[in-house]
Amino acid sequence: MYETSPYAVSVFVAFVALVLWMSYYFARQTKSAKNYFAAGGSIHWAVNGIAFAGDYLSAASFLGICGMIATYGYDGFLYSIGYLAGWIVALFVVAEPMKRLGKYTFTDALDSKFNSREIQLLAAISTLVVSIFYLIPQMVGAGTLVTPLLGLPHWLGVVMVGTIVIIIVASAGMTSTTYVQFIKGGLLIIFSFTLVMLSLYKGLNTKLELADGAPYHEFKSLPVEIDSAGKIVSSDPAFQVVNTFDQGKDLVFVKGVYQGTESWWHLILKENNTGVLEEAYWTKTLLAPVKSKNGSDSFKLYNGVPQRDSLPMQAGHVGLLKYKGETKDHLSQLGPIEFLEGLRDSTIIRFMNKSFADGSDKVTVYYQKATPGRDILRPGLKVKLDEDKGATSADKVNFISLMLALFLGTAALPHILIRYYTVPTPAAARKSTIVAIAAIGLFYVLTLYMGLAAMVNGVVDVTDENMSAPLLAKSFGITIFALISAIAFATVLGTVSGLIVAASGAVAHDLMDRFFNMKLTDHKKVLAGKIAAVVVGIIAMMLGIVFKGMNVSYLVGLAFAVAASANLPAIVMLLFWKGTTKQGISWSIGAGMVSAIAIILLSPDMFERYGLAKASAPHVLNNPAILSVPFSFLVLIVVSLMTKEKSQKALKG
Amino acid sequence: MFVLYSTFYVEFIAINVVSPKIMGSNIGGLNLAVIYGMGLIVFALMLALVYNAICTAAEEELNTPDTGKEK
Repeated sequence: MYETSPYAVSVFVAFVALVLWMSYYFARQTKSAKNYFAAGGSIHWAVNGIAFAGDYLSAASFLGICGMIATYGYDGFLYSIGYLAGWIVALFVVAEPMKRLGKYTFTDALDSKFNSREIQLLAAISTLVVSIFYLIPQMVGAGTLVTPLLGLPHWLGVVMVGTIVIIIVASAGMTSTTYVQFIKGGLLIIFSFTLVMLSLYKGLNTKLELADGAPYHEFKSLPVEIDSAGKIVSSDPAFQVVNTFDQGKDLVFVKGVYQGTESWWHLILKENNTGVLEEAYWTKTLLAPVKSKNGSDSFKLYNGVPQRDSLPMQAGHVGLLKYKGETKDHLSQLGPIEFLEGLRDSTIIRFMNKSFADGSDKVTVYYQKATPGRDILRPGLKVKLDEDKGATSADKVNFISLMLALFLGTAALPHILIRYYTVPTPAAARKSTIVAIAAIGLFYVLTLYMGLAAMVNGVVDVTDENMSAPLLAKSFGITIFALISAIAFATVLGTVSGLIVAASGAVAHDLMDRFFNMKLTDHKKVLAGKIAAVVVGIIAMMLGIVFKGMNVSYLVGLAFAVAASANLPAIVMLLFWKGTTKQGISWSIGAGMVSAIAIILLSPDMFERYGLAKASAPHVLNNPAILSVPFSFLVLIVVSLMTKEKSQKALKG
Repeated sequence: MFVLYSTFYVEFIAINVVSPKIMGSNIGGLNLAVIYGMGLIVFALMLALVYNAICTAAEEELNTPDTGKEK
């Protein structure tokens, strides 16, 4: 658990309150001026551009990418590259031709040409599904943010965000306006920039000190010998081996008692039957609870202490620091290139984890893994690509699939496309997109530095990598930490309420009103929308709790894959192929959506979530895009060809 | 321009898949992976700027804001 400081909490609460008040204030202004967006000229394109960035740089970017870079190095940066590349697709391929059609949203464009009820139904369902998929990572991120700051458990953070947003949406009907997004986006970039500057100034150190002067946990290592019977013998009298656990792949863990307390160690074998035990962090899920300090039952031990009373398990440091061929203690005041150069030549201690059973309890050991900086600065630690390191073709296909989903996903997210059209003139829209690309690009370069700085500064929480960026801020002092968390939290609030509005709109407007032809009065429609918002909000909260600890960027990758499979083929073919029929469109949306979700639900990573063995999953694909996108295209073409004559006859008749 | 960017992007994926070791090779103080990744980001911005310049020029020529979109 994290200790809380009243000062940090008050900075946080004040900032969030300010943002909420601003949204409310601007929302009311919007109401009074009906043609706010139509007249629109009042918003400068540069302001609008930063607002785009504020909207797009959600929890996934700030928390997820930084966290992934902090754990896996360059592989997290692949997400940055893919997300940004997606904007190019949005700008060149989809947005321009759609603008020419005179339509702004996915459903509108499809509807204008065919006016078919099936399309309305499927487009609405797909909007709903994509929104919910996109909401999960936002919720997970929100829970992540409040944990270190307010000292609350993750689930409470999720419930908090959900409740605030539901109240806002259901009571006031918040329009998260351009100015609020502008300020949030701008501040996020400025503070990230500051954080990177501070990190570069601090540089690389082998001796770490945390912000409040507390020393970094010193991981012990014990030399041991292996006797003829294969037993591990330590010369240190304070240490006794209790049991060893061979987990294959050179992973041998030792449960021991050191100075009277239980501890877990990772055995590294050396020559001549000698070895070294390296101290590890560990958590344990107990069958029978123990009492924590306040007397409540605790089923979870962190380093042997009940979870409530434990210290956060933060780790990650430079093992051996080398720069230009020389071994050093520390390097400070580095430039951006020197930082990467130093990191490349050094050895970084990262923490990997392994879970297994210890009697009736389940233990997870977070062990040290010395990684050459060279490997951190290139792909391969998460996505396996090097055949020498055991990469299979399935790994490679997964990688291509992920990059495809990121590339095509942005253009298929309904709420991104709507954003593209909030400015009055085409020229202004274009210019603000460029400002957005510049701002987002800059931010993604910053994520690389924030992630790597978190990796070497002993701040990564081994149980939840999503916290890396806020915890990096914490190592520089409580004020910047509180501010950054508050900005990020406000961004999550903005994104979540936008998504919930979109999803409830899909239910109330597209489904109930148009598809079921319920002919609701305006008043009832609003009511239906609000009820839908509450329901969607509750679903999102539950999913947010279930997916705790999963990297939020990874989850967004899945949302992108679903969006790209369901929506993109329909949009692209509608724009560029005259033979497209309405049946083709409906089938393609349905097929893309169902196949993408089915592949995700049956993937190895999800099986791990269900608590089953990864290997028992029926296939090896973790990201569905490579199969489901072409499949959706194929379905569209085949069905269109099959139904072409019929629809032409219908047109003539 | 989209084709140009796609090619650049596909090449990046291809290098990673076919011979990941090249990504670790050094160029100056950095390795190819970092330079290529940053390159993709900067290139996206450059293309967007060029695109804007072309559209703006076309717009001025035709003197009606809407037709610039035909580019």
